Amino acid sequence: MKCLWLLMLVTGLLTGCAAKKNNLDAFYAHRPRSIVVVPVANESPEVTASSVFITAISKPLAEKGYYVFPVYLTDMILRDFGLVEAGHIHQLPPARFYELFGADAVLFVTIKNWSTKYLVLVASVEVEMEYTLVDTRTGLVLWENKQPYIQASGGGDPITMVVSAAITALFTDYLPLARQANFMAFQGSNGVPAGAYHPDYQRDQDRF
Amino acid sequence: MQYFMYKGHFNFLSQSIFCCFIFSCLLLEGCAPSPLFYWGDYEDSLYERYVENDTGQTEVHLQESFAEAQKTNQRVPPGLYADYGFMLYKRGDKSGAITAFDQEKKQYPESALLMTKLIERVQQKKDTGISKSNEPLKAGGQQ
Repeated sequence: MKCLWLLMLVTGLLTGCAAKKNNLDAFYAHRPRSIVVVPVANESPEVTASSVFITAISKPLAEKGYYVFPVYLTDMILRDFGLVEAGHIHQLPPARFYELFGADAVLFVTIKNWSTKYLVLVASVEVEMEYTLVDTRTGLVLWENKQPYIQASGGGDPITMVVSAAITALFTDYLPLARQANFMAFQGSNGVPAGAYHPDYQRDQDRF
Repeated sequence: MQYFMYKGHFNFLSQSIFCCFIFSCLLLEGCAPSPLFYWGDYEDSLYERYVENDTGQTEVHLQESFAEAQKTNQRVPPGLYADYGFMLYKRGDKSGAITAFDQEKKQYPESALLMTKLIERVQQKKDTGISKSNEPLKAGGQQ
């Protein structure tokens, strides 16, 4: 009986580990060259989150070797078609993004968390995003990732802590956190394999 | 003899420092690969447009990026010429817009489908003499 429990525990642990790793078979089968990032869905109460976030996505993705369609122009084109709501845009058939932009893949981002939590002397700023890259021809999910990033301010002597918590309360700059989260999402161990403009293109299979 | 030993010890120390230095240089280089593109103020310019709703500086930011990329012999990032073309279109410079869209297409063939559509649309507006710059620039098929 003890053995059975142990076996179940080990199996549970193993499947837990395996589930964390991305299955990139579909990615390698379709290898996108170009990615269109559509307006970001925001599930956090912070209204400015999506517009702040969208300014920090092109660079890390393009530096990974992909042709990234300019986000502002993308937004304007979608608007011309009456597509304003991110929630609505995320529901469109993926093939629509091939028709509109000629993009190989579409990246959907949902902001799960974008908040500041206050304890007595410490403030912690948190952002969390969910990324899904979908092939525009087949509708298959090529890659997905979830990236939280938390930064606590405070620590050290009590006066500095009070001051820094007060500063955080006055003006929370989420942008550096969003940048960091994007960087980790694309470059980390569950990141996107390098695209055609990157020197590691087709050489980094063993990394993921 | 003692002098030589001391000197030998000193050499070993300086050699290790040198080795450490070289090693850390290699590490740093490994951690921060040189960027593929010259970005300049692109992210700031997006922030101005999206968050501050101010398009006043966009053109200047983009022009600076192009000039600096050329000067430092770096690549202009994907999308910047297209972004610039759209700016020019918005302020009524249709020929300038077509040139910029064409540049994007030449540098990044992945954009060809969209750029061709945009060029066609701007060309049509140019030919029909519509000068309204707020005219939507529908580039796709039917909705």
